[in-house]
Amino acid sequence: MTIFRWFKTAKSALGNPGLDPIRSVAGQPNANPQQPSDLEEAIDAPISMEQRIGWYREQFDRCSDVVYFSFVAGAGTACSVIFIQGIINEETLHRQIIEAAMTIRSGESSEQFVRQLFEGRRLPVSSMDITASLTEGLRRILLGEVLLIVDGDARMILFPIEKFAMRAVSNAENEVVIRGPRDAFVEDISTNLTLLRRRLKSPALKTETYFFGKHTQTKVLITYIDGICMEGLVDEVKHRLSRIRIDGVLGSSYIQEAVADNPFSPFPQTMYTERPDVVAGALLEGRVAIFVDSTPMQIIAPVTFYMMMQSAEDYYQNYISATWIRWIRYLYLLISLLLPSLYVAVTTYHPEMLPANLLITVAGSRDIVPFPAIVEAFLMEISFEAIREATVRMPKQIGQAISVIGALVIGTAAVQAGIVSGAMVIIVSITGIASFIIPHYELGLALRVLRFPIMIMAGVFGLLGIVTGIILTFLHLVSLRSFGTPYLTPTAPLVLADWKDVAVRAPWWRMKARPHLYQTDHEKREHFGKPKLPEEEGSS
Amino acid sequence: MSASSLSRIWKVIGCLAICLPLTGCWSRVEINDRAFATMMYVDKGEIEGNVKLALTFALPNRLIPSQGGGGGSGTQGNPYDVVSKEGKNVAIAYRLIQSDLSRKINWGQLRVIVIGEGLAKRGIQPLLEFLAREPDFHLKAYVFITEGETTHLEEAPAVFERLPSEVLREFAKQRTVINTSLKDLLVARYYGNDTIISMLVSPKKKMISEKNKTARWIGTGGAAIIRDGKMSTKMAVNEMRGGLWIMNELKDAVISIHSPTDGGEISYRVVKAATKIKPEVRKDKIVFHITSKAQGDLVSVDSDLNPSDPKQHELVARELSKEVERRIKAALDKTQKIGADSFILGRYLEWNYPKEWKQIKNNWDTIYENQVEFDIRASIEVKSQGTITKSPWERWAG
Amino acid sequence: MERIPHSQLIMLLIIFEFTATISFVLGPLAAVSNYDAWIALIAAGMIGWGFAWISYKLAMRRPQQFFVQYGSQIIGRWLHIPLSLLLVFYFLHSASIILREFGDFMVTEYYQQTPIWAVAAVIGLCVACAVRIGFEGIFRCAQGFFFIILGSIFIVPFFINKEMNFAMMSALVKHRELPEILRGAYLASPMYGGIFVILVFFPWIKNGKKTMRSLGLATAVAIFCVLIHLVPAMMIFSPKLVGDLTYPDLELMRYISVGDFLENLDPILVASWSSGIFLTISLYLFCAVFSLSQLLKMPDYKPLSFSVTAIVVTLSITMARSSNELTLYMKHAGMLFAYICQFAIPLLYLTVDTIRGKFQKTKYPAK
Repeated sequence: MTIFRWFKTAKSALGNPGLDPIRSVAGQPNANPQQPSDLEEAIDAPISMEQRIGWYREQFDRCSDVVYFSFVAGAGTACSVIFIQGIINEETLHRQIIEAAMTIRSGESSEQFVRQLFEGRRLPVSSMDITASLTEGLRRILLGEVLLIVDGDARMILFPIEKFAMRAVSNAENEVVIRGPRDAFVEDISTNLTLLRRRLKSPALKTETYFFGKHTQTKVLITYIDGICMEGLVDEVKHRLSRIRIDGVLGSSYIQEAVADNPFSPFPQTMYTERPDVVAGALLEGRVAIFVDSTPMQIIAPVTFYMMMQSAEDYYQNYISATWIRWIRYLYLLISLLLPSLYVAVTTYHPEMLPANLLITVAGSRDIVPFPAIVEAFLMEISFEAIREATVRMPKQIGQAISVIGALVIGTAAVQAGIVSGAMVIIVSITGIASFIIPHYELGLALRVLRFPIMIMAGVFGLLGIVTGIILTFLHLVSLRSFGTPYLTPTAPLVLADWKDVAVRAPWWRMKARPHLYQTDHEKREHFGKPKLPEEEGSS
Repeated sequence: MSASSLSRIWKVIGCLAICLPLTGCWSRVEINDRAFATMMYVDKGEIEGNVKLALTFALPNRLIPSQGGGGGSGTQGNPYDVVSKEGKNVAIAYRLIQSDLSRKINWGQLRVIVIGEGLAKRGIQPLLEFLAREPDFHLKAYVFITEGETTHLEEAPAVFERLPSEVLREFAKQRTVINTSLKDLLVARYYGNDTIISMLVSPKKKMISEKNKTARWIGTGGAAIIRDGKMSTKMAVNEMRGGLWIMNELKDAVISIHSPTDGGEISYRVVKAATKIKPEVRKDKIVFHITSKAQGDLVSVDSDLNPSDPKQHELVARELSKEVERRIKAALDKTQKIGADSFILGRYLEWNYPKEWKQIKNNWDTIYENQVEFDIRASIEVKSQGTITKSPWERWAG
Repeated sequence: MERIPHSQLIMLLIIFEFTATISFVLGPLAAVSNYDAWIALIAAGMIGWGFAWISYKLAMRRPQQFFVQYGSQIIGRWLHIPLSLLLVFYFLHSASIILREFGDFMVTEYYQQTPIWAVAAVIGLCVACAVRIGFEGIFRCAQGFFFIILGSIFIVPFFINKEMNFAMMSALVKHRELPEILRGAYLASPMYGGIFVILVFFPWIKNGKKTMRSLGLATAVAIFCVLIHLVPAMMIFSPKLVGDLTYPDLELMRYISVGDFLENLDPILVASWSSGIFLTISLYLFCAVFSLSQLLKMPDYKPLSFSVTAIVVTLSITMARSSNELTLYMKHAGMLFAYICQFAIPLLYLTVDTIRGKFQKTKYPAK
């Protein structure tokens, strides 16, 4: 019930963009992870400390990691702290809260102590929050804050000194670049935000916090740059997020699937990345990034098909070579989608397409193969998929062994045994390599999946089947949108101005306008002209 | 687009996708169930009125180096085979060959058609009929006529190439022979069915490559003039070369002339030949102005001519041009004598004088024989003098 | 519904006008107009543009409304409904003729053993999906395919220029016979007149006033696309052989050889323009489905798309027993039907509307 109400309020809050985000809506009761139905409203704390501790003990029944510690502070005020062991910084708790509170100042009365305490003048902490709601306290304890209860005062103090076990910032593993920055996001959301903040030192960078997951209470941040990102887009993101009702959010894909425009599409409609520079770049283009706690993969929306064909590396290398690499990528995109199908179609339906000498070579290598070409192709492709999947999931050392064995067995032995033709092995290997060239893994995955239906079509109808497959895929792609932006912008609909970052990678001094997103103006970037030699500058 | 309508689309697509394999793959023929015909021989049959069809098939499994378990070593005999059958017409013979083969005949790689002299004399129309209707045939396929029977050619080994069809394709590509394609034969039908097809010869020769056995060698030799769909006479090699000039197909030629100074042999390689033909209708006759331009590179000098002397240079160039003119004239005379417009000069008349052409179209052959004159002009520019500027003879002369 | 920008309109209409022409009309055109085929083609394009002008004038009278909906105000309900049905049938009929021609082509040239219904059904499936996705989808699809299709069309003359006999140029200039030109124009202009379909979806075009200019540009480019295949084909094969060949453009593509290695690129090129054929059929079918749904006063046209596509596929298979019969039909009844729908019907509406406008100046202020 509470959850429902929370969403209702959240939705109404989202209805007026002027309102503050949820977290700052003071006193909003939130989900109790254990007994949500018991908590109808914010329960005002009773004055008695024992009563309150009793209430918390009831809530945290059988939770052995909750610590209740009572002590006498100042001039004899009974206090107690409640926190969860291991997710707070105990050092800070001891030094700055308990020790400082226990220090007796001469001439300080109990009332004075309490007053100073609540005014934030007594303890040397950097931030604290005061609440009078038991449920709010409960929620915050679970988030890793320390709750301080003072006997005789209904207010309670929350110290956000959470400290979760976390990995240090390390190299990007999935999106490797040669020249660009190496750091990658980690699981901890505040670290991630610092990584972003380090790159965008601007007050216009907005981050709005939400919590999702009935039991996980995962923190989700919507980040965008005010003034670049269209307001409508942020509202749309908020609106879509407000629809989410879920038990737990364990990774960004939970959010990703919930906000997709077309939930039945194999194509990714939002992009994930582990690179803070990619997020920063996307924000500068007027997109929105969604940070999800406890995952190193953050979401970018909206995206286009071509955006997923760009790699971070493109922007760090010389633009001419980057352009060339992009073209290679587009070529291999087609190869990864079509090559096995083309092989099947050409050998079984259109052998006259091959030049005589090549045809004879192919025909010779296929001569002893006992299967039809389509079966052969399927056999090989599926084995290749298996090898690939096995290599990804295996522990690192074994994985290498598997891939070597797989390549040897399928590559050499199968050909020698006459089960598959040499040509097919080449085709499958090239296709396999091609699918790794696509920078965005999810897009590569979608194409890998689509490859098989197109292969069936090629087996049934030859090239006509392939064309049918392409047309159907294309029809699907043109009807697809990502947060309102047509998926194939800038080719369909045609936005020639955006080809500067799609057909080529224009040098930075030519990237004058931001890419065209749905319903946004084509805003000008800060830009400079072509670099000039000193003498040129003098003459002009 | 609502989610439900989209899922319905996927459902429909899914159903159809399931149905697709059920319908079977009608036109699917595996590559190892196909026999690739690379060359076609057509000749008259043993029985009067019959046609003998022979097809050369590539045997792919013998053409590539065998790999491991594939079995067999490299030397298993020729990588091609010729299958021949006789029938009332080409289509029937083709069906007979097909019924004798374990694989399906594919015409996609067929680029060379060789017609036997006997059949060519009887007429090539029935063959054209078959070739033009079969959709897989290329209009680009080269057509040759062989001297004697096609069987001789079938026996000739392909020494330099993997397949005998390659040999003939290379002939055509080098443009040392007149390049007649199926398309040309089809076009010729609209202009009285006269054309020219180059001829092949297959003399017996002792071959070192074939372990000194005597075998036949595929070579080129002249051309056949087709008049009204039938081969009427042969053209010698030299005349055929003149024909190459007229058809603007010459790539390079070596022309030898007698030196105007002392009658010694001088050879030039002629390149960049270009011929223009312009008809002119006069009162009682039609004149074709044939202008050829080319560039000659000196190959060898067997006389006291000094190639670096501009005066002598000009003399030689004039002589060279005259020789070319003679060659062209010889080719045209040959066709005119029998009233066959083999080079389809009628086209030029149609293009430039549409009205006149309409009147004379129907008895073009007789007009060509009697009322056509040629005005042949060749101008060969002598450019390069070869690697050395002075003739080695000069030392003794001077 | 977003409005269609002119760039999309032009791209789709270029594909719409030239793919079917280049595939199926080249032969008959060369057969009737010989060396004048290129003039006939240009004339046909201009006539087609003229037809579209009538529809444009009619549409501009009420630029915010759909023709099927306001047509009854002009000539009355009892005449409008049968005429609209006739138009719907014309769209279906055009779609099925192109589908049939394409099916015949595929079956004779590439898939000899495959029954024609299978080819038609496969294309039909794509078309139905396209119509269902809607108007925007078709236009975007055209935009996506545009450069690929046009690239494959433009590349052909470059590869075959060494086979061309340029001496024939003089014939192309010197031959001039009016009856031949007229016959060719009569034959080819329905292919260009097809752009009168803008009448059906006119309110969706962004800035409708500029439509005529876009149509002109599209027609000009489409004519050019056909010319760069027609003229080389005539120079290589001579017009008579072009007229005799069933699919001259295919033979032209087969003549391509890049170096010595790449020959027989025709399946790839055929693949690229079969997507053009698909777009052409989709547009016709969309117009049919859309008009029909408006006639039936349905809120959405999408439910009709699959069933109407099924009708087109069936019609395409059953409309003629052989390709000869189809050609014969096209030459006579098909032509007449096309002229009635592209020219006579819009003209009738326009005339009646003008006359009415004169009598009731207060109601419809004349422009």
